[in-house]
Formats: sequence, structure tokens, C-alpha cells
Amino acid sequence: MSISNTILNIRFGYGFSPNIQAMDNIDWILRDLTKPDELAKNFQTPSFTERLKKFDQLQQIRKEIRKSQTKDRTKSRKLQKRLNLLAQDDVKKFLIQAALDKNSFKQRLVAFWHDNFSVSSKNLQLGLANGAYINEAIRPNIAGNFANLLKQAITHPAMLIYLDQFRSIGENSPIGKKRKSGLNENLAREILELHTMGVKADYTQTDVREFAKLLTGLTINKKGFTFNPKMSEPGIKTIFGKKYGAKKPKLEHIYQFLDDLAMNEQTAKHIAKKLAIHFVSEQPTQQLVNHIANAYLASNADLLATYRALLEHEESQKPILQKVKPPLEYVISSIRALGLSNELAKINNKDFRKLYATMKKMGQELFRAKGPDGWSEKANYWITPPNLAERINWASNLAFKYGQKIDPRELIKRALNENASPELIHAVGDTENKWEGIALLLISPEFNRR
Amino acid sequence: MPLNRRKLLKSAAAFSCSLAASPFITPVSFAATNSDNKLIVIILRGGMDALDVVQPYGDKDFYSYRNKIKIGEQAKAHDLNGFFALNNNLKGLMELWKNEQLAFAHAVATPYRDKRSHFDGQDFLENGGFEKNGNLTKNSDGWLNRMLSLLPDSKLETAFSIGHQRLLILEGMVKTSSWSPDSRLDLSDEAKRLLEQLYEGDELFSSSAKIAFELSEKIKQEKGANRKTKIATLARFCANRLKENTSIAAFSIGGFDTHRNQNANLSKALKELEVAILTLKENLGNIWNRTTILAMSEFGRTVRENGTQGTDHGTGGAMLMAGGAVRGGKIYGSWPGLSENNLYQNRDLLPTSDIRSYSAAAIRDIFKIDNSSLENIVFPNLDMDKNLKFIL
Repeated sequence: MSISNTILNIRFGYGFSPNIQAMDNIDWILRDLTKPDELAKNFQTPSFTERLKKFDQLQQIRKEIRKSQTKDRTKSRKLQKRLNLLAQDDVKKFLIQAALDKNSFKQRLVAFWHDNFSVSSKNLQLGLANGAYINEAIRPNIAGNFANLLKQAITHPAMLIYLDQFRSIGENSPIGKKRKSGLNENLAREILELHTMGVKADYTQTDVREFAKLLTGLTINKKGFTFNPKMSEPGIKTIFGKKYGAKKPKLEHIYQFLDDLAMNEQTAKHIAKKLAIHFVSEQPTQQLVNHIANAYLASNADLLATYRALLEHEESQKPILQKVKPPLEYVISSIRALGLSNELAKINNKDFRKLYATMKKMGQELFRAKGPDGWSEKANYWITPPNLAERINWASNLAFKYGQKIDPRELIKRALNENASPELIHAVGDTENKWEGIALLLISPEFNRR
Repeated sequence: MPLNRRKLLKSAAAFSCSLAASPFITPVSFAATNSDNKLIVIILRGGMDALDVVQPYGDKDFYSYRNKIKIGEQAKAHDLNGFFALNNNLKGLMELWKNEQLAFAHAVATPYRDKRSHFDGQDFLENGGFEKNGNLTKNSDGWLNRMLSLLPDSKLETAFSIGHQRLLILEGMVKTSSWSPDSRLDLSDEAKRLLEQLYEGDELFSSSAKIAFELSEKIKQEKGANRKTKIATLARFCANRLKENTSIAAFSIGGFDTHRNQNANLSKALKELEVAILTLKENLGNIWNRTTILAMSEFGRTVRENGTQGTDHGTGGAMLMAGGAVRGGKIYGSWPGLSENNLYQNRDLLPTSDIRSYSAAAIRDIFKIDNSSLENIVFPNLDMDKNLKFIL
């Protein structure tokens, strides 16, 4: 069975659009993933180092204001506003790329991995870091090897700050002895529990502890990520019965464990299951999960081979739409369906803030997942009365504003292809106004599922 | 290949519960029963450091573990019984303590052990079951929900929840649904009719839309300016519902995952808890005398502070009980001590009783449920402490 275009674009992409060529071939999609990201070149943003410099500047100005005891905060407010805008711009650019890309599977993968290695913009510092994180650690590494993606993600300053690693200090390290400060287990635990093996895997508190010791030394300086051996716990750490590290700590030792972790069978199963759950079903079959996990292991954690296994399995190609699009996918696929991608690319800040607030009311405050476990994969998490009410409101307004001249009977064919039910075709053709028909299409279960 | 209704129906049938740690959003669930007594369950998300909240300042070992995190007199804690002291951020509750309307159970935990995952820990806390194989009960429903199934007059419509998220605690066979005060629908009747037709074949969408339409008329927009006023709004909202025929409310407060700067971060979360309890009391009026509040967390935290002025995930914790129906002014449970060989795995407060025993004792006395139903249906495999009684 070969995959239908409809499934390929709706389940694995951000949906059809009248002015974007549809994806029609798995080989092309995977080949395209290995090529330089031409679209991303138009959306470059300042590096983490530059952002950190500006943030430090802001802290400095605030300090001066406090010392001077004046109440004039104009200077710090101005800079803070600029930095807030920069963080807002990151989310905007992420959305616009999703709306424009012909290879929307690529954009879905960026969102998927940003969620697997979730960093939440809880404050301005993390907000600034998060945009650099997605563009530096996630986006360039989605088509290589999982071990590499893992290393890039967990050593990025955004992750080191978010999960408290940058201040975790080995008790017997030179700094640890002097300061009497010590370990923080947060990142070590979440790497095992959320990023790689999964909570059901066989690891113990001792493994977490030893791993936390191994991770000491990962921190940040003025330029960004650095390994500081003076913070790092010296000596051998035994994780899953294998020894890592040495008297003189090195970054290499951490990488050695991460390489092993990437090739751990439980990691393979967990990543395979996460992909299957995200793209296909809340309860994927064991066959599908095994198929993906086997491809992952056989290829030494090569992500392209893993994606191919996911896309080519018959389970992935079944026409039953089991998943509900989360707000991110719902909004982007609506915008694409109405041919509004270029409008979104020109959106002003005020309108963008409104769109962001709307998505928050739908249940998804982008870049601010509630915990390090990222967003829910459950249909009934997203479709609650208030969240659905917000979808209905937003889609109606969008249809009213942009759908006055679009023929809903044409649009339904374009947006859903063979997935449109006779009932929906009938209802959409039965409305008094064109925009109402469009609204019904966007609100329908068929369009909300994938 | 056309996608027909049956397929949509099938896809909608894959309907299971959802749950996530929620430091930012506060959902709330309600249920009505034929009882006049009121129960409010507050889930403290993130793993509350019981040792910082109810500080064993009379335990000489305690001080050797905490250095950067201020405790006892240094942190202006308030003496409770000569051995324990209350965190200063809850000082507004001291009056309740003096009036014997506040109590704690210390060194308690669910049977969940060792992985110390928030997400699993909260699932166990809210599910309340513990199968012999270590899994949640079969339907992954909540313990309050299983209790509702034992009460004759808890109808389907009487249990519903508010908020962007569901709480597992009130979820399961007795149907629940969600609503939050901040979404409004502005669709014409005709559009609503067509929409309802479209949703007919998809249970998930039709049930959500039905409640959204029904309740959008009833609930006015209410916006909170900050976390404290938001929680006060929520507590007022709960109190108003409890004054009518609602008898159970459940919601959560986040922010207890204090890996760093515990003094500052815990203070925010505790202030919210204090505001929630005091607002409930103020707005419940006479009903306060028939009210029990239980506040509980998925686990406690490490006895030793970590390297970043915080604490990591631990095991034994504490439960807070408040209300006019509570036999207060007491610390329940048996204290395991904090010397190194008394710690759980040489790191955590050793749990000496099952937290579910307290929930069980409370609902036994509030809703008159027999011990055997409690041990078999509400909290499967719980070996209840039958002598435990803290409801007046």
C-alpha cells in the first residue's frame, strides 16, 4: 500500500494550501531534509551569545538604577521591551516557516523535537534562550543522528538553565570543595525519563545520581555553553553497570554516555513510540513501534531511516483519523487551507500578540509548555468545551474576514480531498453565506483531526 | 477513500484520560451528591517539601541537612506543638490552628516509590489505586470519581469540571466535562444547529460543544490580574458553587518543584495555598463548619538541600487538613526521625503511613462510606488504618 497524498500532507504535514505545492513523495521529503534549509535562511535570528550579551546589559542597567536610587526606569524598560519583542519574534518566525514550507513534514519535525526536548520560556532569560535553542540545537539537527541531536539539545544553554544544570556542582570538584555547593539532579533525571529511555525503563535512583555527577561541568559562560572541569565531579561514575569518567573530568566522558544512551534499546523503543503516538495514534500498535525502533537501531540511530520506517508502515497510512490537531497545527493548517501563509508572513506585532493569545485560550501557549514533558498527545486534552469554543470563535472570525469570496465547495475538496464526509460536503454547501460554509469546514471534526 | 461517520466514531472511541503537571494553569472540578457535607481537594503540584512547610524544628538532626535554605527561627517559622513549626508564608493559617481547624499528617506518601517522576507520582496520587503489579487501576480513573459511583444520587450531570485541563481525580466512568470562565461563544443559532449536526458523529466534539454552548450563557468573564487574585477568584468561585448543591470541589496549585532558591520559590506557592484556604473560609460562611479541605502533593523532597539552595525529588511528604469539620490543632502520623539511618534510601523522609489512609478516613466520615468499599473500590489494595479519625 502506498501512502495517499492526503494522509501524507494532513497527518505528516501542516495540510494543503492553494498556493503551496503539496508533498507527494516520501523520497523527496527525506532527500529534502538533508539539503540546506533555504527557507530558514530568511528567518535568521541573533545567536545565544548575542542574546546573552543583551540580557546581561539589561541586568547591568537595572543594577545601576537600583544603586542610583532614581526612579527613572526608562532605559531598562526600553531595552526590556526590545528583548520581549525579540522573544516574540522567535515564535512568529517559527509559525511563519510552518505556514510557508513546502516540506511541512520538516516543520512538524522541528516542533516534535522541540517538544521532546522541551524548554519553556518561563521568564525573559529563558524566552531569549528558547528562540536561539530551537534554531541552534533543534532545527539543524533533525535529519542526522539522534545521539548528535541529544548532545546538541541537552548542552544548549537554554536547556542547562531550564533544568538547573548550569549550577550543578560536583561535591569533590575544586569549586565544590571551596563553596560547599553540590549536585542538582533535575537534568539527569529528565534526560532519562523524558528525552530518551522513558519513565518505564529500568533505571534506578543510583543511576540518576551517578548520571547527575557525570553531567557536572556543563555550564555557561559569557559566550554560551562551556564545560568547566573545575565544577565537575572527578572519578568514575557507574551507570547501568558501565563505567564512565576519569580522575580528570572531560566533556568527552559525557558524550560517551550519551552515545551509549542513544543506542540503548529502551531509548529506541521510547523514541519510536513517541513518534508513533505523535504522528499516528494515541495507542499505536506494537508492530508499528517495533518497526520504527528496529529501523532506528539497525541504522545506529539515524533519524532519516527512522522517519522512513514511520512513513512507510501501513499503520501510518490508514485513513482513520485518530489524532486531534493541537492548536499549533490547527491554526497553521487553517491558515494554509485559506491560502493565507503570505499574509501571516506580514503580520504586525499587535495582530501577532492576538493570535498568540488565541492559541493560549485554545490550550497551547507556544514555547511555554507547562513542564519539561512538553505538550499533551491526547485528543481529549485539546478538545474541552473552552478550548473548542475558542477554535470555533477564531475559525469563524478568520472565515468572516478572509472567506467572503472563497467558494466553500471548492475549498473543501482542496483542504480535505477524499477525507471530506458526504455530511460535511452537504452542510458546507447548505449555508447562506460563503464564509459560514468555510467556518463550518474549519470547525468540523474532519478538519480538526488528522 | 472516503472517511465516513463510522470511522470518525471509531477514532473518537479511543478516548482515555489526560493528565499533566500544571504549574501555570489551575483547573477545578466539581461534583454534587446528596450529602450536606463539603469536601475540597487541593493537589499541590511539583512535590511539596513537607520539611520546609511543617518544619520538625525539634528534631536536632534537621539542622545538619539545611544550611542555605533557612529554617526554624531563622525563617520566622511559627511554633505548632513544640516540635513542629509552620512556615512563615502560611502564618495566616495560624488562627485556624489555634481554633483547632487546621491539622497536618506528616511523613505520608502514596505507594509510588523510587522513580520520583512528577507525572507518574501525580497519576498515582490522583488515581489512588495501586494494583499488585504496580500499575494504576484499570480505567485510570480518579479516586473521587470511584467514590461518586458509590453515592446513589450523584448523577451524570452533577459532576463537571472547570478549566483548560481535566483533573484525573474526578475523572472516569461518571462523566465529567470542562469549562473555563474566559471563553465565550458568539455563533448564531442557525450556525450552532448546523454545527451540532456535524458533531453528531464524533463524541469528543459533540460532548464538548454541548457543554460549551450550555455554559457559555451562565458563566461571566472573570479575569485575574495576578496569581494571587486568580487563586482568590477561583476559590470564591468554588465557594459559591459549594453553597449550592455542589459538595465536592477539586483543583490544583503549582510551583512546588523547588530545585533552586527554595526559600523564594516555595514562598510564592505557599502564599497561593494560604489565599485559597482563607478565601474559601471567608466565602463559605456557616458552611465552613461542614467543610473539609485536604491538600496533598505527589511526593516530598530530599532531606538534604542540593547544590542550588533547593531540594530534589524525594519520597515522604505531608498532607494539610483544614476546615470546620476537621479535628485540628494536631499533627497526625508517626515521626520517623531524621538521623541518617532513618532516612529512606539515605536521602528522603521515610514515609510511615499511606497518604490514602487519610483520604479514606476523611471520605468515610464525610460521605458515610464503609471500610470495605474504601479498600476495594475507592482505594484498591489499601490496608486502611481503621483507627484513624480526624473528622468531627
